[in-house]
Amino acid sequence: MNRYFYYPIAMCMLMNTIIFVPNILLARKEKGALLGMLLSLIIGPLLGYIFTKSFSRFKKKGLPEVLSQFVPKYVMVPVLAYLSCMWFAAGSIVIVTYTLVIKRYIMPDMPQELLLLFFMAAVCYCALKPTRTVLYLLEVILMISVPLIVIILVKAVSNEYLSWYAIWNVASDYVFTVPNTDVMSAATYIFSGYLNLVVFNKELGGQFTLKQFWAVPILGFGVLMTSFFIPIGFHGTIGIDNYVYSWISTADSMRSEFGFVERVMYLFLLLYLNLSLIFTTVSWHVGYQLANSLFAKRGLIGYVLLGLMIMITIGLIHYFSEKDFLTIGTKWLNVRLYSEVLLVMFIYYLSRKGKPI
Amino acid sequence: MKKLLLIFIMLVSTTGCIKVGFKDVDKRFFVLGFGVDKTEHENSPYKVTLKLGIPSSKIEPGQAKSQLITQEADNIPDAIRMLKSKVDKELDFGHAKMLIIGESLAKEDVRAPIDFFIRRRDIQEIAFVAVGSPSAADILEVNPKSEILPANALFLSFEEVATESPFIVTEYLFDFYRRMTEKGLDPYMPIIKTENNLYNINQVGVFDKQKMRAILTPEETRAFKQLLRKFAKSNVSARSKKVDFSLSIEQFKSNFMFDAKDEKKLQIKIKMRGIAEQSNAPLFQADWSEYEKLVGSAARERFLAVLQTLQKNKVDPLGLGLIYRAHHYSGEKDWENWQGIYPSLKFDVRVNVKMSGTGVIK
Repeated sequence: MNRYFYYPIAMCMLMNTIIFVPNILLARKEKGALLGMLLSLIIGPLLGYIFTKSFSRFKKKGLPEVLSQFVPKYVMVPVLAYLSCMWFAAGSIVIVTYTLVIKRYIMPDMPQELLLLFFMAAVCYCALKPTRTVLYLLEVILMISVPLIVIILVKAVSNEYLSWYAIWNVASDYVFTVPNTDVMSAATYIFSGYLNLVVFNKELGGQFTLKQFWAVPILGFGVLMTSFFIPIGFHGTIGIDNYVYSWISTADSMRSEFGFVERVMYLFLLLYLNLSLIFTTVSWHVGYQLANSLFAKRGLIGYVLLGLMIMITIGLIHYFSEKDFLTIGTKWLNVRLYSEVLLVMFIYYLSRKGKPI
Repeated sequence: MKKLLLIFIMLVSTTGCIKVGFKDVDKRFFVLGFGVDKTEHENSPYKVTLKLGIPSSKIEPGQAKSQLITQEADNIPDAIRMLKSKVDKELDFGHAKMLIIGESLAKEDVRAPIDFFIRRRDIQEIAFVAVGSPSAADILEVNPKSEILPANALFLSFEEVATESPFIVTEYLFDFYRRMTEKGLDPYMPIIKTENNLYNINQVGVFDKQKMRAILTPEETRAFKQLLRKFAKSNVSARSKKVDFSLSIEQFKSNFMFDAKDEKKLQIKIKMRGIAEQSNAPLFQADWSEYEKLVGSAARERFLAVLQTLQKNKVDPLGLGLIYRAHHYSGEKDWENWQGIYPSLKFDVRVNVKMSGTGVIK
């Protein structure tokens, strides 16, 4: 079961291109993005390590069970409700952004609300399944996606149009600029997959070791560097600021002469179709499980909650523009960083000093 | 029952999508070449020419059928909309891989067409861009006899999987756009001419951020491509009183370094390796180093000439400014310094030639 602990972490790392991490970092490349990324390599895994170590003391328990054991109800309800909202929001942001991308590049004539509805129908169907099924699904999709990611990365790095001078120019000139919160929250985001343990711990039941945890910062380093520097290498130190979806345009700048489809972009879009749907499935599943634990009469409430989420998400895509979603995404990432730190500290405290009531 | 209902709902909604979202292949016209020219008229300055592929049951050389449509308009999107009323099918730009800009427009301002190309979601960023001389429409009119698919000859020329000429300098749309924005890296485009129902691509036009500044000669183009892409499959000829000799290059390495002592001096170290391709005298027993030196100095002249031409025209398609920026660490200030340095930059080209054989005969 050890690997099921690492899958959500890998998933969050791979999702960074859709949830605006490269956009936020690239827009602030002269304002401390680099130092921010390097700092996040320490902060992110450290938070993850503390959280996982503390949480693994609660064998076979999710966050709702832990809270009901240690804290009074008037603390538990708002905490769980808030966390559930955060998880739902993450899924919504991803699925909405991906719908906008699909509408732009593949189906420009289809109403985006309808497209979103189809995606969410699939997501809700999977999110309502038991936790174990969701984990298996996650495993299958990651197994399919990783080879495709490797192909794209190899194509990118071996491309003769990738300008290493542009990359080095950005990397060397602005290393010692102090980053701001936006940068920090974007860069640490890629490590926050471990938080899904709040629900998955029930399934994993502490049957995992942290022996391989050293791989997380190394992988994170690779992910951050590639998703930040490859777009710069393809579109230049200044041109990159002009692209709305920097990574999709980067994938479109690669040619696969002997592949089935010449435009690597379609491979990329297919890959992120998988990943966006599974990400939304996982985060809505977690959000739904957290919210569901607040109600005595389960089952029906779940359908109502997800129905509500579908309506809110369609409302979002209807009323907001691409520009608004970037702002919403940035704000969400900021709020997430603060909440994450508080949650980790809270769990650490409970695991050390908490007395069952 | 619930599942059946769900399936029914999904099926019903997909029929809706087909009507609004998808158009079948037989209801589409695939645009293969996209040309933009400048006109004389003030209120319709752009002339858009599209080369449409006509699907045919036979795939044979010379049987490629295509159709040209043109429209003059105030801007390119307007022209596209007007063109849509001239054809019976939906225009599809997903295969528009050849984007040609007329020479007169290139000499004036290419920003509007390039912005249009890069902003359109359906035009590939890996489309080829080129300047059509005398005009884009003239280039698109040509149908070479060897073509299996419309505009295929142009694609193959630039793709570098078929012909590999030292004179054809491929340029992709995304790269052109990067060069338009980057500090210290200027754009270029190959120039296509026509000749007896064939294309002739052996020159390159160099741009500043806005318009074409100069056209390099074929000889300069060859040296330019070698410096730009480290392109090996070329040759260097050397002539003196005694020898008339040509070396076919198989390996090419180049290295750009700024002199540590003198900021205004750029060292370019070039290593070439090749075999003799033609000679007026037996080579095998002769002193090869003499020939290597001869070829080296001939190549050096060639590279120096193109570097100086670019410098004289105040353009930098080789990205020397970007190299300078990468080697210096003070951000925006590097760029200001470089602008002062480039007009008076000295080039120190060192060519090291190694002859590895004399070919089949001695």
